[in-house]
Amino acid sequence: MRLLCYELKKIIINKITIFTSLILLLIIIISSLSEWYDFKKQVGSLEEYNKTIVSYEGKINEDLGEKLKKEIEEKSIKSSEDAEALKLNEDEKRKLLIESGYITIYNEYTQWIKMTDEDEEYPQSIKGLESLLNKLKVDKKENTFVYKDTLKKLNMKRTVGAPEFHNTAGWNKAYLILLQIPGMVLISIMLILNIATMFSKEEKNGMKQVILATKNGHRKIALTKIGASLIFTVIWVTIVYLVTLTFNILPYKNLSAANCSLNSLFAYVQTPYKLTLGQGIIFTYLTTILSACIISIVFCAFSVSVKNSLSSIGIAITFLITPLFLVNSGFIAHILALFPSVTIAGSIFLKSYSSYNIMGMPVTYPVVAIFILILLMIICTFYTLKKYNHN
Amino acid sequence: MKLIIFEMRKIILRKSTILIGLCIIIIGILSGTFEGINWNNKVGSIREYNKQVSKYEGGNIDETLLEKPLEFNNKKLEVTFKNEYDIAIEFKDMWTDDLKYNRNKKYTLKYLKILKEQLKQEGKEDTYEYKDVIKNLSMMEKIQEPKYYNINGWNSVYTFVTSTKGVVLILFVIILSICPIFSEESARGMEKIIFTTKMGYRKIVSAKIIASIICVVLYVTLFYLTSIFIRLFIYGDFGNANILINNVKPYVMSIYKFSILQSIIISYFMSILSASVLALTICLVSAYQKNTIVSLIISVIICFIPLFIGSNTGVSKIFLLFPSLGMCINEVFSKYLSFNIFGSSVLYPIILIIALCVVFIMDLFLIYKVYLKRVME
Repeated sequence: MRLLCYELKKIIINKITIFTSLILLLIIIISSLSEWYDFKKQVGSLEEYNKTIVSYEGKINEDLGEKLKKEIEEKSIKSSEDAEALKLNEDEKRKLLIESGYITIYNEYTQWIKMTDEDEEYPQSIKGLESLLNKLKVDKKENTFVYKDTLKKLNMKRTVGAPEFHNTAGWNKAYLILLQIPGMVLISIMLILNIATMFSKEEKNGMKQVILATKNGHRKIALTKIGASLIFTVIWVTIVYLVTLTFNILPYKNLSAANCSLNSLFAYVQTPYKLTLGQGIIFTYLTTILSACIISIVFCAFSVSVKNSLSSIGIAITFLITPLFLVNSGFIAHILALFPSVTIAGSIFLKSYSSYNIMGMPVTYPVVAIFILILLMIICTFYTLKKYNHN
Repeated sequence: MKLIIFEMRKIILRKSTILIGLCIIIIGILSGTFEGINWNNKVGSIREYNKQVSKYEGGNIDETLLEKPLEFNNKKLEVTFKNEYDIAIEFKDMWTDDLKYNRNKKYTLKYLKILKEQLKQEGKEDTYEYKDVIKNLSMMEKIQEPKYYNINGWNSVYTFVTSTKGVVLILFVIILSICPIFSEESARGMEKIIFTTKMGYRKIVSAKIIASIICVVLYVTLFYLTSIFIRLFIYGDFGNANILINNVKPYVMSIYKFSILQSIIISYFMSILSASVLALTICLVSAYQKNTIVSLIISVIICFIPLFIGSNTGVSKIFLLFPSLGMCINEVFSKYLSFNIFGSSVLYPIILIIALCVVFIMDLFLIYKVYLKRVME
């Protein structure tokens, strides 16, 4: 226990850690607050905005959607001819903002239900999925993987239900930071700097010989180092989540939106999982911690095998960015999506339906990914212990 | 000369440099290959597609073309071609401002003409705003509207090599290879030896600077060559190099009358210039800092933050002058951008090159001074 405390202290109370963490947190806070400031300037008063939007919330009304669409089109044509004629007061500005938000969700809603041109091969909408199922039924392909997969997708989408319109101000930005590239970068910078250099630092200081000669032995030290890096990872992920959520949601006075369904967010309309916004954040918090822990164990393994800290940083960066650059292409994307540097950004879990063909049965992406991640974690822990022993 | 070769060997033959250098070249090649394979699956056969589509290339865009029956012997080809042509129509509409929601509205000819008239009526002919609009308008008027060309290879080149995506990769290599150049010497205790040799510290520092610039030029060249060649090869897109740059997707609103080939050459030289400035800046950081990791952090901040917060409005316009933006040519040449210098508008690329040269000279002076000062302490 004392050893663990000592190792943790070495990671945390360190000029580099304190300096970088302060800078990273400042970046989050400043970008969130500036966004909030812009938003506030746009709507005038937040209370009024939250009051006005209530009458629009709930299920999508198709007539209202079409009506608003027409109105806004007319307005935009007018404004292109004569910008002066369209000076709005604050109430109208607020209304325009809400209505254009309503229209974007309405457009997504129609895509969720109706078939589009691209639906023929890879259907996303309910109608598209149904027609594909019928086609497969007519062809008597009911035992194939494609049929089972499509059926599962359709059922999951039906349980989630159609997207609704809700006041998601603030949550949008929080989801954008935490679940996509910014969150991944914020978390992994810290891991690269601290954990990728953990073992190689000892080598450089000449501490390694001392450690090997103590009565605790190398195995205990290696284990505590891994333990300390895991605890540090959990602490850092928690801090990033807490700070982002605090500065993105509290200023908008919009905590109650945590109970809205996930598919009322613009980017997550096609989600097949029945979660609320709050549950979504908790779920991705857990998966992010899992992937970050694996990344830090992998970094430990790199750090043990390479003596120079700079080289281990190089390897760590390579490991992190390679899958990110290759991820949007076909079959290989399917495999690369299981890499921890992809799963650390949680949006890949929730954004859309994706599944693997495991012995003819469709297994959804999160199940496979979590299984693989845990497997990877065990392998890397053993490797690190063994390699440290070997050295 | 021997000194320079020796320093270059030290930079290039380091494990971390070799590894990440290989990694970016492999990423450049693999991502191009995967893209090409996907495209091949989409159209059936790329060669066949290029052959059949070629008769629609060039001429003015015909918005009724898609309603007519087309002569394709393959359904897959026809669907993809229609999709592509549709996108070309959309981009043309964006250029002429016939779109309903046009995010590039402010750069279109139509809007600029209206704005000019408006400013004239308000009697603001002496202001900077008016001069800026006039300049933009005169450059825009020389450009022809975009047409349909089958240039997916070049599109892929411009969305990877000259955009943030590729630049991030090359920045990593530059940082990791140049960062330890001075700080490693201090960690190994070589500094004292350097200062007692008959060469003197000036010669060694000069050798280090020249070696790092040569290395950076090598990396950029290698990266450009491999990733451009693989993309053009896979898409079979070596022709079409003489058409105007605003046919390429990220450059629709470009005001520069360059051909595709010219602009890739310009962007190559701009990248080399800004990469050398960056290399010098990192050298300076490394000379100032004893600890390699700390100098790594500082250089990452210098390189990456402007890349993500540099934008067209307000105070953040200053970040557009940072050297890492000079590598991101998509930002530089894709639309009209100008700076207000004593009331007259000067184009962004010119200002950028001046800023780069100033930083270059400043860095050169500072490195010797800073290094001497640190060692003397």
